[in-house]
Amino acid sequence: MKAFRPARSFGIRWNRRRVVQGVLGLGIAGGLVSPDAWMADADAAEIARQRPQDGDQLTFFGGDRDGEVIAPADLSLGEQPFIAYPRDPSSGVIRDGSRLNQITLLRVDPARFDDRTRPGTVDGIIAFSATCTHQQCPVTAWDEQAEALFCFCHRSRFDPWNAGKVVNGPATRKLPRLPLRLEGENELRIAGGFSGRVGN
Amino acid sequence: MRGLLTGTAAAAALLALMVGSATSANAIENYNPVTEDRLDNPEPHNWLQVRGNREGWGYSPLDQINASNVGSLQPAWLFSTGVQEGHQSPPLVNDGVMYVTTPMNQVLALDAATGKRLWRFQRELPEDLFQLHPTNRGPALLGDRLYVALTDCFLVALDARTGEVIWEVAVDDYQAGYYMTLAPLAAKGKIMVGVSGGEYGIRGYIAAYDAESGEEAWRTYTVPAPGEPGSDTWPDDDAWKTGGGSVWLTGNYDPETGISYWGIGNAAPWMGDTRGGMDNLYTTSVMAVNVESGALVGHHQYHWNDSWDWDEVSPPLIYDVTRDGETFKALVNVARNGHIYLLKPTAEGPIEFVDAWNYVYSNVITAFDPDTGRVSYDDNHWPGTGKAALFCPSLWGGKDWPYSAYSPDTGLLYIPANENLCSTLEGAEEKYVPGELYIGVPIPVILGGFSLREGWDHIGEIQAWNVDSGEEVWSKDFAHQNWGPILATGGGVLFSGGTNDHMFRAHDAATGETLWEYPTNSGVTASPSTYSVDGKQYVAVQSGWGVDAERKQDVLRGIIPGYDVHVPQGGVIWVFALP
Ligand code: FES
Repeated sequence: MKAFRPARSFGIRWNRRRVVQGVLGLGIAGGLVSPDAWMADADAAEIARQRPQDGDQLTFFGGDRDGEVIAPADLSLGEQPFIAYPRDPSSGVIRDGSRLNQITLLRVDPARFDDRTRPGTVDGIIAFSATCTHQQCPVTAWDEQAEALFCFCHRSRFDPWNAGKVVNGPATRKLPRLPLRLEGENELRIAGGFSGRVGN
Repeated sequence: MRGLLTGTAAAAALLALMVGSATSANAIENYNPVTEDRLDNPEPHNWLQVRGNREGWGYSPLDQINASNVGSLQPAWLFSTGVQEGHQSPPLVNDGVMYVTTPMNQVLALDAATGKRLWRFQRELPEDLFQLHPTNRGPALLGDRLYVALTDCFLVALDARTGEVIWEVAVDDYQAGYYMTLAPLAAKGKIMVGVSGGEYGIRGYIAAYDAESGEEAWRTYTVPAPGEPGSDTWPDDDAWKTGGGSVWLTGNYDPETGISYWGIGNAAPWMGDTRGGMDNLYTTSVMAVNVESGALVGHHQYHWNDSWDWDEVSPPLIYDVTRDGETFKALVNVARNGHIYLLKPTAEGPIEFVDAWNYVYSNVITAFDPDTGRVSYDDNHWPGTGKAALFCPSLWGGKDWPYSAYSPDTGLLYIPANENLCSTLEGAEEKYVPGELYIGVPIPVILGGFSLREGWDHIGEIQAWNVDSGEEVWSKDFAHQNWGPILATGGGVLFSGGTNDHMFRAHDAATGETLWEYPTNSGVTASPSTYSVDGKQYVAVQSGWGVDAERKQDVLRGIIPGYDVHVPQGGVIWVFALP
């Protein structure tokens, strides 16, 4: 089933992509939009704005699999990171009400994690806030040569094996971590909130 | 995305909460209002607009500081801006009052002779704003107001005497990737701005607001909608909606004709084949826009179907050039694509091509049509989606945004150039998501896509050109990059920073010889200005490294073996004078 997409309500800053889908959704629903539905929209907007929670799933953002839940097998060693949003499993709402909820997800060699970084990783899969601690651009890339997460905007780099610490660039604060865990055999879940202040 | 924001939302934006605040220590008394006549005919002792005059010269006739005494220049006062990031704005000065904009939406008013703070304004940045270009290139002064265009895409009018907000308007939606870095242009009772966001797939435009009320007067898109003139240079799909065409710098203005000239950025996404391989007007062009009506009255496209990220950011300088015995008012532009363009404007608007030639090594443009100026390309150096190509100059071009200058004393055009750096790009398909990066080239490709030409021995340059003859008169090299806008003065001196060694320098305008240099706190990528108070001349500039200079520094560390120079950030306003 497709995740429920809330519509825009004025006064609330809202993720643009979801606005488009929300508005289209309402258009298709036509006369079915009742006052109750608007209340539900408000609730959904609230859920979408909440920061990631323990038990949340991760979903792809952008690209062909946009909105699909991410499984451990989707992440391979040596591949570029994914940008993800958390998803509340009970309501199905993707928490994309703020871009500060964007997550950078990647798989690296688990043998290289230092002791404080290893907890909250799943077989080399590690998640960080995607919001660069410099000027808040999304940290979307892997710099193969430097072996570091790379921010396009002003070329800051972050070390995934050492809790996201700054390798170089104008950023001066490490990328906040987002702990992960497995639910059952094979379901990737978020295991708590961001480890520090998101953004700059 | 604008569609969603029209009507109610736009009205709501006008009434948006005023989140800016001014702290006013001293209201300025006996403020001398900046009339349009003063902007058209600026007094030598003031610096009332970003480039000193309407024509964009970056020139002051002041000559107390000159080639014979500049060697003893020393700091008169300093003022810490309190913020990091790329400081690029020139201090404006109106009868002893200095106005400086900095990154992070800040405006400072200072006593130009002493540095004493008069007031400070800062508009809070939205918590979810991400700033690809955390900078500001200056305010505009008109009447007793100051106007500033901000990175959250607000245009704000302040009382120049107190810093109080008079009106503010959301020019566009920052969440859809729109932002502003340029200094507004004030003319004919209007405040004109342009939007950036080409890397987010915006559709660019220049917009004018009534200086008094803040009401929008006109909006002229840099990318035409279907059916509008120029739309036949776009494919028959939705590419125009995300077509880019950012406006990074203030237009220059000819008060005689009422026409403004704007440099328009590259089209989005970066690879030209995603836009049908067509011309994609009016990106990478100069647009001639009537200030009263907003009508697009002329244009010249420097290069078509950009695929090199060569935003043609610079507005052409307006000055008289003599060719074949004929002296005419010319538009002279130093294009990012590595070529100097000599164009001839007409009073009605249309722009004629006269000549163009390269000022740095270029392997992309192979020829100019002598009548139209249309360029031909070497296909081997033309990247595309799934097609890698190496090209020179690099994506930062031969000259990026840092301003060139023109001195009527020497008759020379001065260019802050970069030579010997090249790029390799290869596009990949990308889906547009509003408000997200939309480049069409994977980040890891951009990350590693730089190289130096074989045998390179320097990168940065200042070049001096005689456009009448098309000859280079002198050139000065710097080991690494040069991101320094140039100020020319009647004292026969050029002031400029731009290098990664913190230096702010004075050069002999006739020979290029370095006459003086001073190590500042950071790197100087800002535009210098000069003014006098009570008969004493000062030279002012901000030091504060960041944005593209920072990026390029990282690139150079990656490709020059053993090279590991980092430039500290943090802004300081430096003011120099003779002892
Ligand atoms: S926002 Fe990431 S390096 Fe500047």
